[in-house]
Amino acid sequence: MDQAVINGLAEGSVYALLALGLVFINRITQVATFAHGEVAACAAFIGFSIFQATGMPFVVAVLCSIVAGGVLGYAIERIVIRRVQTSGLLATIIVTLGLYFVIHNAIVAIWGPEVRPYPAIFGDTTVRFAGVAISSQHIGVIATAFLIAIALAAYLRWTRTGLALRAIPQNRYGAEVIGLNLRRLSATAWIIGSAVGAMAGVLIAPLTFLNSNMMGAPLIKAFAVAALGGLDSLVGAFVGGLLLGVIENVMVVYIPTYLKDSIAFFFIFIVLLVQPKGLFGRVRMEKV
Amino acid sequence: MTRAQIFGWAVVAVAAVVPLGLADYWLYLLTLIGAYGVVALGLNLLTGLSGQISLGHAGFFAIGAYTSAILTSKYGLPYPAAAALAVAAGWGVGLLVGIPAVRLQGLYLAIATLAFGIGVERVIYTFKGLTGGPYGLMIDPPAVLGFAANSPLKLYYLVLVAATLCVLFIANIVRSSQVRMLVAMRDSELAAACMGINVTRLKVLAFAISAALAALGGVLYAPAIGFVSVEQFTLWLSITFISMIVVGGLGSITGSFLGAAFVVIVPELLRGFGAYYQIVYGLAMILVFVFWPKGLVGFVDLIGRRIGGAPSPARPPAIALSKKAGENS
Repeated sequence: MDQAVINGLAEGSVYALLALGLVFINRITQVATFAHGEVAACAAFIGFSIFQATGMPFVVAVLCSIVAGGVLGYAIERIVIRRVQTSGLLATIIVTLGLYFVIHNAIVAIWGPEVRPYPAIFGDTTVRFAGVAISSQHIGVIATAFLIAIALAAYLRWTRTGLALRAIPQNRYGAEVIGLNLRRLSATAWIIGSAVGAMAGVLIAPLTFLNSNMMGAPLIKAFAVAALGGLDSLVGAFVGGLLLGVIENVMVVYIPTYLKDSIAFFFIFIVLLVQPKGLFGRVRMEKV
Repeated sequence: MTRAQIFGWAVVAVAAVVPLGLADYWLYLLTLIGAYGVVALGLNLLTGLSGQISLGHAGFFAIGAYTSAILTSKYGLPYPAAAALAVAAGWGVGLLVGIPAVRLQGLYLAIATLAFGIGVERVIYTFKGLTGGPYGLMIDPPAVLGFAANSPLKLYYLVLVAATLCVLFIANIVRSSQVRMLVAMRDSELAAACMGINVTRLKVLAFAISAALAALGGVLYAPAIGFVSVEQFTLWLSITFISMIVVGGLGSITGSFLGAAFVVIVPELLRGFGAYYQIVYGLAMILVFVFWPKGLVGFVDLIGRRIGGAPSPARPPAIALSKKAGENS
């Protein structure tokens, strides 16, 4: 049981980070991107290739992945999203689904469909803590997720850009009136959101091995938990991700393994039925 | 007859004559286009006209395909009866999903329907005894009133008749007050509600009709393929459906079939390139919205205008892609 909780927290950390990036982008640009997972996978692949080609320390390769995620996010925002951002929900859903196919198959084209082992970032030792054996890998993943979340919170709390990024979801019109550069901040949101997503990709790769399909299921789950948080609550996304990871791993003791991936959908279906704007979502009043 | 009717019947006439000289392979592709086109008609009603986005239509499609397949092969029901029950099942499940789903708006609806589609996939997988799960079910050639559609040509005509009936149905309701209310609701839900339109009832109705048409598409698809298995009804299929109506042209009958032709033919043309056809899909989905929001039907219109000097008739009025499509705010 304790083991299941630890595993769940580790897996949940990945969902949480992915959902965090998703919500971060959605808050500023009102675009929920279905390409988020593939951007993360692509970034993980790029880092891995750099690591293999140059043999530099693995930590540097991980940093390369994060930078690659940011660059990809920026490119997507500049080349595609900026043109369709105001064209409504259907446009952004379809366009990001299109991006999903383009990036996903580009990964298959460049790196092939095979599954590759990915080096463990945090070593392969086991730590005994309060009678439970915990692999250093799991601790590392959980700790990194929390570090990133705290860093993000600090960034939003104490920097000028962070302040601007918090102002926009509160009142878009007001933010524009006081002279915030919405375009530049949108690009910033895509860079940061995609970089956080890339980190999720790097963290999940040692657990699932590096392959072109590794972000499919996690992305849908990230969407599920992001929706639980109403798609604009960063705390909701993070807590929801951890919670889903734990629930999945604890439930799997009682139900067949192949139903594990369905828990998230069952969960979201029920929550959306009861609370159509998500658990943490704000109810928006409509002006006529 | 109006121009639209003349155009429609001309297309049906061509579609009835052309296949006589075609090889079985092309007949198979045309049959698929017909089956997908029926799904696109329904999805266009839901997404193109009423602005609700479904990422789970593969679920309804699977319900249609499996219901008819199981009823004919395991319970020996005649194909028309099984087809009617399958469409009714699609309608029923559409109502069941639609009633709670109308509470959801925009992206939440998209996510919930996505969950529904994946749920159906899991159910098929779980009830292996009935559905064959990953091993699938073989489908016998359907027989309608003693006429056995046991060759690709006969199957093609069966689908052509069904698709024509569906087009007639949609063309008839598109000008009805109900669908006009639907369009009004898409453009401003609040204003529509203020004018006394029963928004909830209309939305559920649109959802159920669209689900029933998707189920019918599945009923037609199953014998064309001759085999159903759970891998055919994934999220990927739902996305193919939505890309079909977007690439074809939102809210357009002609566009529904153009889009179906696009998603059937492009993979065949790019067969030699393995999975790369998905890149073409993806690019098409992006480019349509960036450069040409009217879809393929926009090109047809353009050509029609050049030749005929008048707007193409094959489009329901005032249902171009508005900026508000799918945005319920």
